Order: sequence, then structure tokens, then C-alpha cells
Amino acid sequence: MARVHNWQIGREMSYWYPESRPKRQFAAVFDINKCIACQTCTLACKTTWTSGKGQEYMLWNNVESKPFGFYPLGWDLKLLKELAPQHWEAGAYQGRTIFEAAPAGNRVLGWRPDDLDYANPNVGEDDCAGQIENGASLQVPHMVWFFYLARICNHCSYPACLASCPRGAIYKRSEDGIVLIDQGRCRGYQECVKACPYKKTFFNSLTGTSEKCIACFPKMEQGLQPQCFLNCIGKIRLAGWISRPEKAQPDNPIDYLVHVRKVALPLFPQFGLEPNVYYIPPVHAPLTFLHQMFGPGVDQAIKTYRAAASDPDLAGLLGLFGCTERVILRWRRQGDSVAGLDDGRREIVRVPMREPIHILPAFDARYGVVRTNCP
Amino acid sequence: MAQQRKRDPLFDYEFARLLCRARYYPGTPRGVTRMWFNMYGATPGSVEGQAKRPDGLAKNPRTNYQAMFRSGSHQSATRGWLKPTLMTDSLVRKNLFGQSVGKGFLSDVHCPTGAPREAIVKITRAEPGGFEGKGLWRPASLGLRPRYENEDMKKYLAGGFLSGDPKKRR
Repeated sequence: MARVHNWQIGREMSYWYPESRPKRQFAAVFDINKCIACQTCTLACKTTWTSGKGQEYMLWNNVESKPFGFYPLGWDLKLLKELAPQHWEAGAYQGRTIFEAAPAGNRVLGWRPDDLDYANPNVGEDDCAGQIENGASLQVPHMVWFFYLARICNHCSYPACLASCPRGAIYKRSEDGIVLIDQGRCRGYQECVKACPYKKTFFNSLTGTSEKCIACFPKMEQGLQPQCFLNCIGKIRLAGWISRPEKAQPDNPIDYLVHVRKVALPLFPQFGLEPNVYYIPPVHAPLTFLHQMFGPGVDQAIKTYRAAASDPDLAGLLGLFGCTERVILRWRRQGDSVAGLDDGRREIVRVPMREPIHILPAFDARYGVVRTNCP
Repeated sequence: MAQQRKRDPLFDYEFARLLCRARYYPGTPRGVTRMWFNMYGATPGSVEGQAKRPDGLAKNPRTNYQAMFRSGSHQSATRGWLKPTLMTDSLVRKNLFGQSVGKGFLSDVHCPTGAPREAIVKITRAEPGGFEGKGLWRPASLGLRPRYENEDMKKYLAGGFLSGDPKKRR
């Protein structure tokens, strides 16, 4: 085991390999508050990458209703139980990561799902925690609640799949930090399936190898956002590149949201993988549950997000989500509009801070008709 | 004719009675429930297939239409989905877009659109669920479903897998 630094948990930790950062790291921000679980992302991925034989059950991208939604069944709960309750202190994680809690002879603390754990891919859909009573009215945070969690591979800085592979078949690309499984080297031992806490590697029983989300690298190489980002009708996703916290650049949209404003948080940072998909937490769910899922930054993130309406920079940047297929490398707000820029700081897209509103009079004298508000 | 129908179990009540899997749902007040995924309602043909096929699949032997239900559909509870046929081709109605008024067939008026609406129904237990009518649904038996939560699930819901003072976590 080597000692590596994990900024998300605010300390050094043990990892199977020494620290080796890619030239740049693929990252994403998902705004949970905007997701409606339409599963368009799921289908965009499914039809692009996993429509073949042996891939029927695979969902490299899935959206589950938390807290009762799991794919596979109980994926996070089982590992949290294995890990036992842990704690944070002043922003630093005091508990054990899944590398540090690995049983003797194992590289990672993990578990392998049963086949039947994949049998109910959308279990828990729209099921809430708590019982709605007659005459109920909701307050924020909701006393009866659920939210939608869209998930892809986190292309972690310290991937558990990579650490666990006895064949060395999993690698993290130095050019973009995308984590891939070499189909030529993989022998289907499924150690990665056991190790990945997010359960985002999938065994293909037809090919005898494991497969996973590839962050649509053929698109990313051309400066285009992955399929699940492009097709998201709620425009909840933004793909890009993340810097180390000490090198954060405010004009990099991912850096701004994660490092500068700290409004987007990693999923289960306590596992220790330094995952690179960041979530703007739901404003309506109980903080205790959100602390468990996104770490100690939740309170501040929600406070910042809720104030976005009077925060033109943050609101403007959130408006850039889903407005172009291109990867937005830089951004800037100018007055009432916000622009996404490319590598050469050339403008690739510009969106208004507020859409114009036109109000037509009810009576149209030209045609002598009263207009209704029907389409 | 009426007497003949009454003797034929595939007619009317038998085929129109909704038979579906139910599970506990906490998101509506007690006495109110909801139903998802209501396409592919049963037809006389699918009910016939369901009764006659060895595997019990609700598939019409002549057309291969396959229903999601052994019998009935959402339509059993409400007629708010398939519109009454008094909306005929001579009906005067507004066009789908714009303000002009026209007459005759318009898909938005004459075809099934949107979801069925609410209805007052009586729900009775027909038979046990599960394979061969035995056991709980696996996610429920594992304690991962509402009302069936095991101790770990309760702890998860409460955020109990982080210990210590939440105020100090920041």
C-alpha cells in the first residue's frame, strides 16, 4: 500500500498504487435538483453502448430514486454497513476508507452482488421515506422525501476497480483520467465488480470480461460531451475537467462549482476513491441523509445553491448546463448573459440570464378573437 | 344474447375486471393509491390466450397482441382515458395549435391522450403475489422496501452511517 493524498477527505490515505495524477481529469457536475428521472440519459447510454448480447442487464448510466432505489439492490447500504459508522471532524474524514478497511488478503473492502440484485433496476421508483398522511402539506426540508440520483462511473482518482484487478487490466488514461477496462487483458475474475463501491463495472457473461462506462471517450477526445450529458432534457449535467483544489481556476466551470463555490459535492467521499462526478445536493432532503451521502459540505452547498437567484455568477453558470454539445472549458458572465468558451477562449455558446417574457393581450383586435392560454 | 354472454366467462366482467400486482406505497394518503405503466390492457383475445395457453401468457392466439394484465386494465376503473364516442367526426372543436375552430377528426380530441384519471374503486385481494404465490417480493424480504425496512435500512434512512455531532462534521 502507498500513501496518497485525497483532497475530498482532507488527508492522506492508503492506496494500492502510488499517487499518479493524469494530465487532466474528466469530471462532471450533476444538479440533482433539476433531475426528473425521465431516464433519457439511461436510454442514451443504453442505445449507444450496451445494446449487445451479454449487456442486457447493464446500465452504465442509471437514475435511481433515493432512498429506496438501488441498482444493484442495496449497493451503497451494504457497503456502508460493512464499513460501519464513521465520522468527520472539522471537514476531515476520521474514519476508514474502503482501502484502509480491506480485510487481510484483500486490496479493497467490497462485496459482489448476486445476480438477482440486478433484477429490479428501477426498484424504489418514486417511493418516499415516510408516510403521506391525509391533508399533508410539505415544508423544506420535506418530512416525506425522495430524490433522483443519476449515476455513471465516477472515473475516480483512486479507482477501487483498478486497485483490485489482479490482471492489471484496468487503467486510468494519463491524458484525461478516464478509467477503462482493457478487454484484451481482462479475464473476468470480477474483482472489480466486487471492489467498485458504486457498482459501476459489469460482468458480461457472453464475452467473459467486465465492462464499464467509458465517459464516451471518443466524444470527449473531440471536445464533445458524453451522450448522457447531451441528451439530458433537464439540462442537469455539465462535463469538463477538474483541477486540484490548490490549482483551481475560477473561469473553469467545474472548478468554480466544486472548488470555488463548493456547491457540488462528491458521492460518498468517505469511501476514499476521490470520485469525479460532483452533485449539487437536493435542497429538500434531510441533511442527515445527505451528510451520509455527500459528506460534510452539504449545508454550505445547499445554502449557496438556494441563494443562486441573487447570485448572478452562480445562476449564470448553472444556465450553461446542457446548452451545447461542446465541452465548455472556460466561462464568463457579461451583464445579463453568460458565455461558454473553448480552449482558445473563443465563445462557443452564449445564453441569457433570463429568458425574455412576452405577454400578449387576451383580446386580439386584428382577428377579433379572444386568445386562451391553451397551446 | 345477454344470456349467452353471461354464460361465457371470457365476456364482460371476466375480461374487464382488473387483476394486477399491488404493493405497499407510502406516497399517497391511506385509502388512496396510484398505478403506473398502464399500457397494454387486456382484450377478450388476450384473456382467451391467458386462459388457454399452458404458460398462461396473456397473448391473443390470433393477433399475438400481448397484454400486461391477465384481465382488465386501467380502463376498468375509469373511462377518462379512452374518450366516449359521442365525440364524433362532426364535433366542432378548436384546432390543436392556434385559435381557429374547426370540425371533424383531430388526434388530440379523438385519440387516447394523456393518462387515465382518478376513479373510486374497490380493491380486494385476489391471491398471494410472488412466484407460485409464495413468499414476499425479494426486495421486501431483504428489508429494503418501505414498511419492510430492516435495522440497517432504518439506519441508512436516518443517516446513521455517519456518527458524531453533525455540527462538527463541517
